[in-house]
Formats: sequence, structure tokens, C-alpha cells
Amino acid sequence: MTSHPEHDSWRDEVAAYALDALPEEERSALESHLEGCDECRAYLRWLRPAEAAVATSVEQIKPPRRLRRAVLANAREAGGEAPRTSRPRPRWFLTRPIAAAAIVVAIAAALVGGYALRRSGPSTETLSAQTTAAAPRGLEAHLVREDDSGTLELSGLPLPGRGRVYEAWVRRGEEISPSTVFVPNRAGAAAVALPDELANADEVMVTREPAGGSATPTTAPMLHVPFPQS
Amino acid sequence: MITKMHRRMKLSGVADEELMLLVARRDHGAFEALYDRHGAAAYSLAHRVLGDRQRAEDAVQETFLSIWRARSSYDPGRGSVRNWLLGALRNRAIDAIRHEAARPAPARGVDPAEVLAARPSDADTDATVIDRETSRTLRGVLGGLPPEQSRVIELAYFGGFTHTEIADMLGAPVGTVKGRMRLGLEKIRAALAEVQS
Repeated sequence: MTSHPEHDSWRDEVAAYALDALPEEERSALESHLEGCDECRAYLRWLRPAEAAVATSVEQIKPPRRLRRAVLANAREAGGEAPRTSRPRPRWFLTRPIAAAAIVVAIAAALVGGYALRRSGPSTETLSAQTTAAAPRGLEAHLVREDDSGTLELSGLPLPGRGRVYEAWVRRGEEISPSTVFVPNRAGAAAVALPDELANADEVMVTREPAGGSATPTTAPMLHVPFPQS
Repeated sequence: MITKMHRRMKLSGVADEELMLLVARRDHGAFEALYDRHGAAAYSLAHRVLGDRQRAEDAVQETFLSIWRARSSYDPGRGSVRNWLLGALRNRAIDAIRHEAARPAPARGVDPAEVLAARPSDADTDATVIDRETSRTLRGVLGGLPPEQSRVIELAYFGGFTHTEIADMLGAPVGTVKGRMRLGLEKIRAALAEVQS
């Protein structure tokens, strides 16, 4: 993709626009420019697949069954047809003995193991994090583990501050390996993918680090997610 | 039942763009096929942006309902149906977090009924497998960027931050942040051309 020099100054704006990162005033100015500039419109079209690649790069997780039911039922209701798909059951609604038995097993496992263990599939478990004195007030987290991969879900996490990030670590015995560097969204939530990293791990930890991350932790962990040892 | 299965098989061969035309005519089967093709990718993206499974479900429901009600019209100018749909979902999720005060989430308790209802679908379709392979390839592309470029892209796209907010967060000039976004996107674009060739 080549361009006239006078358009170079717009290209940074177009790239930020493609990522929806322009403040309102700059966005309006760029959209006015785009209306009359074939070259910048072509550059935006050329960049769009890159933006889409960012969207598709996230760790793929299976949606719950109830989501499909709800999406289709919503359409039927909106379309004026009688719902042919049953509505999602209320959370307390349980009749099948097998479901009740599964709950007993899940609760027993949580009590015996000392973990808030939630079974959500044949190879998926949810492990609660233990926060430390270094944790910001209101921080909550859990890790959804699926075989050797996992997703750490955090809420109540403030922005790490200028020039700082959060970093996830995987500990195996004495060895602590750096994993993902992240910051929460502006609502204080984050979903941190830990792909193919959890084999033989003892726990996952999170610390606050300088921007770019560190090779070894430089601050005390704010949370631990210990794994049950088989 | 046979008729429904037969129709589902017929729709499986229909291109996304044609599917959208059928959805615009209130075809429930086409809408179902649209969800089956793109629901998992939409849910995965919503979860990445919102950091919470329940909120991700809400965002997916709202996005698909908006499509059904024709409040979100497919724009071929945004590329494929999937890219358009994911863009609409991402914007909805970012709007939600931009309007939400940073407050702690309500306490999470263990609700066994909720856990059981939230079990993932059994159907590990070919589409899901392809999605996982594609997403792994694309993660590799993003992972190949210099960290300062991938960081600003992730903060903007998944975090919903503007370039000025990112500059403040990283302690870098605004022009540098925008330049990193551009360089990063251009490298991804070039890498996509190589992957597809």
C-alpha cells in the first residue's frame, strides 16, 4: 500500500480510527476527511482485515447451551411467533436426578479440596483465587481451567497506573514463569488467556509490573490460584 | 422433524451474505444458522472484552436480537458477515464498559444450578475447530508484533481506551501511540497476506 506524502499524516488517524481509539472530536474530523478522500478510504478498507484479525485472535471458548436457546427464543418472541424453544430455566430450577447428583459431587469436591470448585464440563473446572494483602480492595478473581489452558477472570481491578501493567505468572515448584501481561478494561474487569501453560503447574499468580512486563516478579503477588494436586 | 433437518442441511451450504438476506426476511432457520456459525466467536470476543461470562452472554443476546430486529444492518463495506458481526458486538461491549463506573462486581457465590446451566455446548462442530485453529494462527501473528505495538492495539480494541488515555497510561507521547497502532495494524495486514497466499 503506497500513498502520497500529504496523506501520511492522516494514516495514523485512520489506524486509530480502525481500532475505535479516536476521541470524539478527532473521529468527527477524520470522518469528514474520509468523505472526500478516496485514498484514505482505500487505506481504511485495506486495514479492516487487520482489525478483524484482532477480534478473531481471542482464545475461542464454547458458549453455554442456554445462550443458544435464549438467542433463538428472543428472535421468536420479537418476531411474534410462539417460542418453540424453551426459555432458559431459572437458576434454581432443577428436576433431573442426574443434575442433582452432579451438584452433590461438586459441593463435596469443594468441601474436601478446600476450593470453590465448579464443574462446568467434563474437563473444565473453575478455581477461586486467594487475594493477598497486596490486592486492591474489591478484587475478585477465578480461573476457568480447561485441560492445560485457562482463563483468569478478574473484577474490581483498578488501572495499574502510569507506566505499569499487571502480569500473570505460572509457578511449578521453585520455578516461576512469566505468562500474560494485561491491564483491565475501564470497568475494572479482565479476562486473561493462559493458553497451553498449565501442565504440572502448582499455581497462577498476578503481580503489578513495569510496562512491558518483567522476567521475574518484582512485586508481591496480589493473588494466587492454587491448583488441587492429584 | 425431517423437514427441519433437511432445511438445516440446505442452509449449511448457503453463503453468509445470502443468509443475511434470509434473516432480513425474518427467516428463523437462517437466523439459527447464523448463530451456529458465529455465536461461539461472538461469545469468545465478548468474554475477552467484558471479562465476565454472564455479561458476555448478555452482549451476544443483545447483538443477535439487534440483528434480528434489523436495527443492525449488514454493511458489506465492513468486510465479511463475521467481521461485521464481531465489530458490532465489540462496539456494544465497549459501549457497556465505557458507560459503567469502575466498581467492584457483586460477590461471586457458587450457584450449582447456574454452573450446570452454564456447561458448554456438547457440539464441537467443524466450525468451532476451524475457529480455534484460525484464532491460534492469528494469535501467533499478534504475538509476532513488537510488544509496544501489540500492547496499544489490545488496549484500544479490547480495553476501549482512546489513544490519549493509552498515552497517559503508558507514559508515551500521543503521536507515538498512534504511530504504534498504525505500524502494528500494517504488520498484521501484511502477515495476513502471507498467511492467505
